[in-house]
Amino acid sequence: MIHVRDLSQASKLRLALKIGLFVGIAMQYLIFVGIIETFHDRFLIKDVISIGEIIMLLVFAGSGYLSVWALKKALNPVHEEVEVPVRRPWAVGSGALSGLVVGAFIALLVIVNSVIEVRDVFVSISPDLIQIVTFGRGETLAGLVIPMALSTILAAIAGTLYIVRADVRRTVVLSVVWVTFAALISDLIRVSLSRPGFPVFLSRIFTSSNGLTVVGTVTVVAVVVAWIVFGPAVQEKWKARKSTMSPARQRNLRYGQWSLLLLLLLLLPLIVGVFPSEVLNNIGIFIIMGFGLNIVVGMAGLLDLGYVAFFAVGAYSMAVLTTLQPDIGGFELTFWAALPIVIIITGIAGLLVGAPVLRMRGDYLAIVTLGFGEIARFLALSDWLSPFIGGAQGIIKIPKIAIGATVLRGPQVLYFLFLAAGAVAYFISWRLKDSRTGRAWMAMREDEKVAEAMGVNTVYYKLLAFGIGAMIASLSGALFAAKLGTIYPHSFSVLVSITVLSLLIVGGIGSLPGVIVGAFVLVGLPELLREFGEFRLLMYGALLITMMILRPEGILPSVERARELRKEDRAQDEVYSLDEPTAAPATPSGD
Amino acid sequence: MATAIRQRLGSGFSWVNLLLWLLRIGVVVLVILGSANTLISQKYTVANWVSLFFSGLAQGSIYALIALGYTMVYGILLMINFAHGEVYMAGAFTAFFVASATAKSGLLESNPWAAIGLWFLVSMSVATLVAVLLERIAYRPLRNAPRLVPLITAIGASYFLQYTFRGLYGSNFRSYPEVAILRGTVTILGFNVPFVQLFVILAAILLMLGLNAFVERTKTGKSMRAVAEDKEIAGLMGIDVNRVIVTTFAIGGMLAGAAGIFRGLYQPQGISAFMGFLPGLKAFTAAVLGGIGSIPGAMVGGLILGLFESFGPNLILEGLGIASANQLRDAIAIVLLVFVLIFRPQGIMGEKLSEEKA
Repeated sequence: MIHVRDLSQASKLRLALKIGLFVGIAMQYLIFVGIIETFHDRFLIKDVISIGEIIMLLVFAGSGYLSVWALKKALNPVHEEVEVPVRRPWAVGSGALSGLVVGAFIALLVIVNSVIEVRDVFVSISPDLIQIVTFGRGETLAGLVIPMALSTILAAIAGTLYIVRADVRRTVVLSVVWVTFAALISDLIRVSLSRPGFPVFLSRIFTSSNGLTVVGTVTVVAVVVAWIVFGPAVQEKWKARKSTMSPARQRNLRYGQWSLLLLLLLLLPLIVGVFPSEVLNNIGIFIIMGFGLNIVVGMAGLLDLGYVAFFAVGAYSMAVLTTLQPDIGGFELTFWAALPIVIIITGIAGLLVGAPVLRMRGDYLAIVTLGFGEIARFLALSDWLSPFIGGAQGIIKIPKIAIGATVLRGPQVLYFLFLAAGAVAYFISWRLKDSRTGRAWMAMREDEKVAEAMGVNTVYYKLLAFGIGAMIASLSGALFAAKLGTIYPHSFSVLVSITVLSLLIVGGIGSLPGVIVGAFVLVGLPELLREFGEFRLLMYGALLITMMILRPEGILPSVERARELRKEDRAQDEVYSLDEPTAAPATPSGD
Repeated sequence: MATAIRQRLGSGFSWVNLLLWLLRIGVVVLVILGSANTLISQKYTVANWVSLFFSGLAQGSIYALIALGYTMVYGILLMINFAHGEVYMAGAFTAFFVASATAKSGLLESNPWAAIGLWFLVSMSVATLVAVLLERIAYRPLRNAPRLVPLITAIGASYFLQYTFRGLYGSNFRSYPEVAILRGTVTILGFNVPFVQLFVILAAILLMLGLNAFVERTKTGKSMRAVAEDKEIAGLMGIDVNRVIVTTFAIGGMLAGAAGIFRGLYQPQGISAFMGFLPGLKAFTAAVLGGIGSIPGAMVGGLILGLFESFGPNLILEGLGIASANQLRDAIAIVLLVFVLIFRPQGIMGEKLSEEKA
């Protein structure tokens, strides 16, 4: 028996109003916190629309989409698999209504701002911002009407979109997503295209110095449409051909794919150029650390929030051992001679941090390691240790890495070191995962007491996790020091720990490809968009919350971890149903 | 219980135990050595120590107020509300704007106590609102999730709030307007104590007494205690668990908001969006020091931590010959946290918690 209710008209309207209110508040949040204005400086499509504006338009459309989604959910709260149609007038109507509410919020802001100086308290509400949110009309009647009208229309369209054919919807959504993405990385595309050997017009056609060109946008949309129209057929055909191949050929094909990927990885810096290689190296630092922290958090289940401490120990010991600065160290080793020592030192540091926290339970451990991370920074900053590690001035004159007599210069060459280190870290994690050690860690993560009862030496395995995690971080730290040539205590703030943790969680904790994806999204994108800088941690915070609530297993989850997180949820829901099931509320997310 | 102890002792020699004992002895030796050295050198006069004592007590009462929020939430939900430091920051920020408004309108000049009362009213309400929203949006959907999940959410919420406030109000430091009636010093037993410190200490004690009365005497307080004892059974007894949890967050937020004002009143370097992180960490230390889950424990823990932090650098570290020991003031609190968690995880006032809680 399928439970489908019909709601009264009043309650349908109320629902749309509620969604409009939520989204309207979220919109105000984006405006007040300064995101809209900051991103207004960059164009999505050159001279047509800025990223700040597209964010606003997307929020308008989002309110309509959400309100129809909520209506559908309210009509059929239980059976997800049964399609309950929302009639068209209702889709358009509730979309428009919620959009109107969102637009009204903006109009309200404009009115209030013309009466009192909002800027005295909220620094973002500048005259420029008022121009942006009214789409250039300012404090005029048109300035009040245009946001409301635009919002209503867009939301109505988005609401209708929710009930039309799936492929139409997909085309629109994917076009918007890919155009935005292409615009975000347009600098990268531009730099990669405009190099000696390439005709100049290539980069000019698709990208400008600030965002995509109209031609570029149309190209992206065309590709998306082509993919929607022809994609399924091509995929089908390919699958059919593959299934008729002999097993040997299928294997060869697989090898071929892998070696192609490898080749691509090796040639990547040459393909993309100098600046993107630098970005890749920065991502590499975090990928290596991500692998390391994944061992500690993902495999062994020890939530370490002070992981930056090991990164710092690695970087500092490399710096002290190799620097040519006269008053510090005095060892002046080469990178390669110092590396084993650095790894050993950091491994010992890992054990030293691990030993006192052995008996602590999960959440205490998290806070204490956070404290350790802070202590590392205080010590690095202090005058007390400055004769040894430079204090607030840091350490300079760290020599470049050399192999034999050739000094490795430039990001395109250093890339290979990061690739190698990343490969080592990947290999270690991959081999450990299903080994005896990995299984012991997993057992410990699931239930420490039971694991101990089954004969897992938890002391040993915890220390091992800390030690290996620290050593991998030291690899990253050593490369970091050698790459920059100078290190300062400020590079080792808690922000690093949080970034690594966030990329693990976004990618899917315990999943190795997840680490890579997470690093590209969380480190790579902000590197490309300097506007992100200010809102980076805001975004991480919002991501951590939303991921934990909506998708705790991450984008690319590891299988058993996903099962675990979901199962535990469900089992516990059944046991304690103290509170009525509450839907996850709309969180105002920062992006 | 007894058998468990015997088993533990009987399990024989362990390297970890040896290490811990060495650590314990080492810490005690270092503390005694450092203090003795400083005291013998007579670098500081009695007046110096007294002034350190009062500033430590004032700082400690701020920690205590924040720690109460940690401890109450932990007592009920067994979760560390890591974003609590940001609630404190929200209180301090709100009070800044109210304070500026009262200074501009002249209320602060003509009727200072009413003005300060207004600061407290508004900023405690805002802090309460932030705490309640935090619970509603970030924590409630995860009430039954594995334990580390809400902690990660809390960390996310903490950064989210920090950067939200920075985005909303800008990144520069802001200082409260001068309050004429809080200036000057009071003479206690022949020593001069800044009046503002005394004000902070007394007001904080008043708030804590109020909280104690609320928890011990009122019906809501009773249901809070019941929920802390056992959520499920309390629910079966007809207590609205969700409401109690929200109340707990609200009260914690209120106290943190007040703490924010105190901080803004007596520390001249002003407030910023990132002011909540370290005090949050330290207040957590205070809560653990006092015995997490215990309300009197949080009060005592906060005061002790404040004193420790105040005396520590001058008394212990300088005696050990560490240069510019005051730079390591913040590190001391964290080291203290580590040692408390290693050697006495139940804290000073905490009862021996059951396995599941501790």
